[in-house]
Amino acid sequence: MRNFLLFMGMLALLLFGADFVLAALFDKLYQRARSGQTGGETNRYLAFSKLPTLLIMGNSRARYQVDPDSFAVPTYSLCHAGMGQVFQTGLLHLLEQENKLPSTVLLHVDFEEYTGDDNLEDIGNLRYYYGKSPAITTRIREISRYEQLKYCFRFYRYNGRVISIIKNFIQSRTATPFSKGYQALSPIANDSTSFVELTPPIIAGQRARFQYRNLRHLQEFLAICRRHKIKLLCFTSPYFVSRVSASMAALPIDSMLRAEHVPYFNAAAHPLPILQHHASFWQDADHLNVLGAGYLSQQIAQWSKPFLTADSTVIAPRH
Amino acid sequence: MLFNSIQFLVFFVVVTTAYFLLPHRFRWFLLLVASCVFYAAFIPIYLVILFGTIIIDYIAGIQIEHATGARRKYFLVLSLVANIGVLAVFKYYNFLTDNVNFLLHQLHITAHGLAYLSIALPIGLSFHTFQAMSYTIEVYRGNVPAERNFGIYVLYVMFYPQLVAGPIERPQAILHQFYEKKEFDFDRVITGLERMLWGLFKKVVVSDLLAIYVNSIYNHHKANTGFTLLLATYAFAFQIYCDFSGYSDIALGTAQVMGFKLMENFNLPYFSKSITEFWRRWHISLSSWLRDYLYISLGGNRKGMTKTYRNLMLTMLLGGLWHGASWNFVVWGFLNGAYLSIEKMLGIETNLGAHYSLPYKMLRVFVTFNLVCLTWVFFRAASFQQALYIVSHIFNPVGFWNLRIQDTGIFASMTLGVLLLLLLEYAYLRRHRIAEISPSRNWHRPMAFSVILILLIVGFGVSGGDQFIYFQF
Repeated sequence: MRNFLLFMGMLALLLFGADFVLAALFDKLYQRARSGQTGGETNRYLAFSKLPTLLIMGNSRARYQVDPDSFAVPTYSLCHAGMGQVFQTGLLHLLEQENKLPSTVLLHVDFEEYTGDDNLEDIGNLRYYYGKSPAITTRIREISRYEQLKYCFRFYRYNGRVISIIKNFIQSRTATPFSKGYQALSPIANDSTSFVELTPPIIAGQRARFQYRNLRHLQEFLAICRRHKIKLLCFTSPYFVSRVSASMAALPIDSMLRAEHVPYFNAAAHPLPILQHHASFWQDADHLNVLGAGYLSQQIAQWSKPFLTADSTVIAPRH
Repeated sequence: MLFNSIQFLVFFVVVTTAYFLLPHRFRWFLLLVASCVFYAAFIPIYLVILFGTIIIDYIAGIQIEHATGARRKYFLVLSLVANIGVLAVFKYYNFLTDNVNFLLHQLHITAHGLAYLSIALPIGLSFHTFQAMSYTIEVYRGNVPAERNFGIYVLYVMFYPQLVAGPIERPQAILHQFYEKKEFDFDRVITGLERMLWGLFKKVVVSDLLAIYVNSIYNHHKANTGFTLLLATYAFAFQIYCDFSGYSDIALGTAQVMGFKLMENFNLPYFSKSITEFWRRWHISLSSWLRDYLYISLGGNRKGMTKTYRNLMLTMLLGGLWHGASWNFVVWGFLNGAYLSIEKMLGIETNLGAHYSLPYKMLRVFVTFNLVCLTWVFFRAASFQQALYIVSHIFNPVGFWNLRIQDTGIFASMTLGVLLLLLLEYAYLRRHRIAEISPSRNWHRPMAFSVILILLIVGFGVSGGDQFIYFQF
């Protein structure tokens, strides 16, 4: 038993030593990365001395589909593919903490988030800031009862991102980052055929329910904007084929944003006919390629123009 | 609770510590309570069903031993019917109903059909059912005396390291171990922990990473062609291997820490040079169970070639059905049975000695691996139609080289995981078992092995990954 305890003690020491060294190494790599969605693009934005007027935030349906060059004001896209509202709110908390809040935010609101489980896992993409940002730390701990035990290893902050961080660090030195954060999807040969296969079938009698509790992340996002008098505009991108989630979630979201005096444009309910009639503009049922993104960007830009040029804050202060 | 969860880590530490602190005569009771707690963490009510069959089998075992003549067979049949009956209701009823309703609909007999049961499958049902049947069959055959101690018998069925996904133990291999006093042995405990770590690495680093890629391709199979589908199938081959063998390693390591020896379940199956050899290396506890209780009982290879092929096909078809109530699994079993029959028919050499060249052996390994992967398509696909689509498109040269990688980070991580797996398992563990990475010689190797694995798990392990694949069986 004595040998066992000695062995485990030495193992623990070795482990924590190695963990410390690895974490320190990856901290350096992470901090120097200026490309990639696992922190590099956020670092790039945080390093700006002059902030854009309008910041676009959201998931892939904003990242690939809304071109910052379409807007009349200096615009930057800090969208992250696959990331839900909990991540966007965490990111805004980070910008708040680093004093890098823009004057206006254009946020993409995706319906799918409000008809399923509250997906907290996305906040894990900000786990570098565990222990550095109270809001992000709190949200990460909500993932599971034992989540904070994993962070006994500092290296765990790079879990699932080890190769991405090394790649991003190297790319930051060699490659040119996406202009203004916008990543265009080049059209590919089977775009118009693949989207039909990827459209989930609408099952007769399918009963999706709007999950009101999932709104808390969006409400937290609104609270930050209100606190710092940030103009907030929201939109939802179109789908090629209408979704059950779209018809289910549009009204509660619209109502909530209306009550908060947040301008909201539901492009899913008002899709441009040209997008609906050209399958070749779509990479799949949810994402426009660069051909279609141009039209959507123009549509959003035109809708947002009066709000961007207005003097007063868009969000009315709460009484 | 899953083996790759922090709850299990806490559970394991508490149970193992209590195990070594308790006097020997109370340890079986601790393990029994721990096993009940472990099983109840899934769906508690199913403990009732499990205990129901345990009581029947316990009584049947004693009665088989006491009885003579036809009464012995009566109690054996009672036990088998009880176990298979539970399996039939929970696992196969809805599948049978589906097929009956399909037939009724095709024959225009009725518009409504039979009603479905909406009940969840008890975790590990197929495993502990087979283990229980193994007991009554061995008692009937006179290979093992009936267990008189009810608590020990319950522990035999419910021993938590192997309760939900095997290995499927034989009573003569394990029952006596519950009576033996186990001392704390430093070497044994460390190598047991190393084995658990190795299993955890295979599950959360290799298998769960591969699952992300496999799911993205198989769930959108019509958007992918040739090489992408083939690569996803290869990835699934490693996913299911690492998932199941990883589970087995954790099970064996957990048992080993406490001094119990469970049977090996895998032996580098993808390095097999024939399908016959593959089935001696893959899920060894199930394949040997099917051989000893089904294939041999049907007559094995003792009743002429035709009956040998029949017995092989029946054994593998039922083996396929054991995995799941779906035609996909039946086809999977059929393909494996066909492979085995063809190998027998052609007299294909299964033990390649030193006089065969390395390139020939490598070719055999490559061919065997691909034949196995063809069967995995049916195993993984959500439906028979999907499986046929994937197989036909793998062999379709149009757009074959159009490789789809959505996330290069994940793809690179999973490639690294598979390379590490091959490096460690084939290059090192083939010759040196984990038991040899023992602290009895020096502490450097076990230290290095453990530190590297833990850091790989921390850095690459998928958090909140999938349940073990074989839990659904």
